[in-house]
Amino acid sequence: MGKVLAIALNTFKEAVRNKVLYFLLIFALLIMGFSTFISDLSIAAPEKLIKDLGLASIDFFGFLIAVFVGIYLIYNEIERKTIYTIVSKPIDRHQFVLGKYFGLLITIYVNMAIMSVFFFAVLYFRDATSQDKIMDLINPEVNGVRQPVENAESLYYWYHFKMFFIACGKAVVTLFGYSEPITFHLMRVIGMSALGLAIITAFAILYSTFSTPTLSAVFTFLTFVVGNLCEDLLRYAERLARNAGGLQNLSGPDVLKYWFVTIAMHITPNLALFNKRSEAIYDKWDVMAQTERFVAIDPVQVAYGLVYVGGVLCLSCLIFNRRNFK
Amino acid sequence: MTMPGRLKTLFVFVLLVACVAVATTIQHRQLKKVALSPPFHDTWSLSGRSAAVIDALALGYDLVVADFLWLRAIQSFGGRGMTNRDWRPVYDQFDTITELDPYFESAYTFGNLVIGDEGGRQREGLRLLDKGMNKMIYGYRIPFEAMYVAHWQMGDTRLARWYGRIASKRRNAPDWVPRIVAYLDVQSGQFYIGFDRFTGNLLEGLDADDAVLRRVALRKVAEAVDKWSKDQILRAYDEYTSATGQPPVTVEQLAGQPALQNYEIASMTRLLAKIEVLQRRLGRPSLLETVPEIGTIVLPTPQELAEAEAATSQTLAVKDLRSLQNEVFRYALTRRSGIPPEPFGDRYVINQTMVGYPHADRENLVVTETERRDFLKQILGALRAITAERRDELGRNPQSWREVFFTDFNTTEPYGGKWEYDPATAVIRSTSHPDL
Repeated sequence: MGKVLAIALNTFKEAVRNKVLYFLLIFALLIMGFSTFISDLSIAAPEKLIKDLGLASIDFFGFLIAVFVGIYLIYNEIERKTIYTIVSKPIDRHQFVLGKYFGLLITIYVNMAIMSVFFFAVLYFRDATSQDKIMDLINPEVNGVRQPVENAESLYYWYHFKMFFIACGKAVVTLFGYSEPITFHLMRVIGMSALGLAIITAFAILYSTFSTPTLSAVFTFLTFVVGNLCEDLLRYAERLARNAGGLQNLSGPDVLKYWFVTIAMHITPNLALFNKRSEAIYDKWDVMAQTERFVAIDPVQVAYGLVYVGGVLCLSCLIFNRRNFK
Repeated sequence: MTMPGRLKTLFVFVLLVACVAVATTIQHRQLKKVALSPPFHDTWSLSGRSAAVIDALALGYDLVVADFLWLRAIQSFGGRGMTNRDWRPVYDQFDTITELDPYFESAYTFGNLVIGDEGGRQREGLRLLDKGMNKMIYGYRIPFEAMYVAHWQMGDTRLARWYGRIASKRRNAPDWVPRIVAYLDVQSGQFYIGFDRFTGNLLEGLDADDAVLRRVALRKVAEAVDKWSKDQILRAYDEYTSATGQPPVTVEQLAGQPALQNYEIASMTRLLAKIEVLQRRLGRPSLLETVPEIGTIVLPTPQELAEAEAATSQTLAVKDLRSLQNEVFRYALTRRSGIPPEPFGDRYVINQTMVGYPHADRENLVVTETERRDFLKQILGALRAITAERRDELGRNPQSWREVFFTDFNTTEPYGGKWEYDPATAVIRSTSHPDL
């Protein structure tokens, strides 16, 4: 375990020196910051636009980091021959693979945390400086009549300045469980995204154990695509069977298609399970839900994610164990 | 302790098989669940409706794609508003947005505004709202908006009522929604329901001592009874016309028609009598003496008050009127024959102007005496204004109606009288009311 951790920390240190990581992070933060301006273009539901864009950015840029950083991790070790210095030491190959995986995962999660803090800060700041609150501040209601306060301009700027720091503080503590109505259960959504990214990262590591970075990137991206279309594969299989008038009536290439799709949808990761974004933004369908915008976490889905990661990592270890570095 | 190489490989292989087996089993169960809840529309399609394709291509980022399409739709709405005002393509945009993000309430309501209000395609607007209503099963806003479209834009009161009833039962529906629906109940001929709802509002206003609610509800109850009475007379009107081949001249001619024999209707005076007695029983101030707006409505007679007194138990098990709504409602219903009384103390008459007029609104056929007189005043006012205008154009008094209207003036006088025009003075009068 200590060896795995040492490799993981080393991988993390190596990854944070990667310039691509910073470009991706800056781009993500820019998009999230810009979302507040984009939302002003909307005639309704600006908060929804910010949340949609923020949550999607955290997920998508996490995915890009997994791809662009993950695919080089093992490849570079082999390419630079540094793998020899590692495999000659009393470190098992599977420990090396696991170390690389967890190092990359730490990198991704640290980045997700930074993006989340920024995202929450945007939400808190926007909420605190909404038009109604500013109006109450500089034009408060006294006995049912609005009266402007003295030094309204300086008060306006001071309030924004103060709220900026308060929003940043709240954003940090939101990572550790604090929430307000505007950020209610958003951490659950990000947590589920993180689990989905753990699967994608495992795939990135798997592909990098046996192929070139370009191919690994393509494979990882295709895995991401198929993973998101998993439920559509089910619809397609159902449709094939329905059009034929039942499964027993399928004939010719349709039989092959049906079974190919059925097997594919069972073995590909169902990434839609980890997409809880719409639940965080809208009311829950479930009448038994305790609160609005309730994001339910199904332990089975979490178990599915963890087991899936375990399976992919086992496969990676098996492949890497059999790899010849001569 | 280290494991030999082969054993380690075997262990990892066994772990792999175990993980894959568990993951596949869970996935199989998850997919079974997915299969049980089919999508609103078939999502696997690379042709036909664009939403299905975009949904697949969005790769889980449906909400973001929907947001950008939403911003584009707003731009498109503005752009088309300033150019060709062809909203049809915008409809497809909203359809796509709401497929990608089925819970985007603003997309449904704004889409309906674009398609229905601006584009004049209310049916398509309603279809979009229907989609939203079925998706967002707790929100009242979408069915409420559909109700608005159906009633105020399409004139379909029954459809509006259907939407209204859905809206009023939604979890977040404000308490004013059922009141609007009660109005539609009355408008669509559901008098029992409308009367019951407004009675409920009145009792609520009395319980809460809410002067505004009490005043509005009292007025609405009276209007519901008025509408109900008019509807009953109109049925008799149709029976009379069908039996005699000609329309009636007076309401009294209808008194013998089957529709006005032993029919059930709500009585405003019985309702007030019952509430008055209950107010006393609860130790509250008299409704009839303390509510100023009651003055415009016919009050119960001492006999009616005595009857209500006799029909009400001396001790009440409850402390509020709302709990007694069913009792009040049932008591207010009465069976009677003949022309129903007008709740505001007026009397019902037939507006002769509307008799036989093909575009007449049936609501204007049977009116109150005051309304008929106002109607006559309005016609006279309009005629005088047109005549004065024509006189200014000609520089002299018009010599006949033809010189004013360029055709004969065929509008029937509301009382069945004649129009008189004096070319010497250019004064227009009605023979039934020469004083007006």
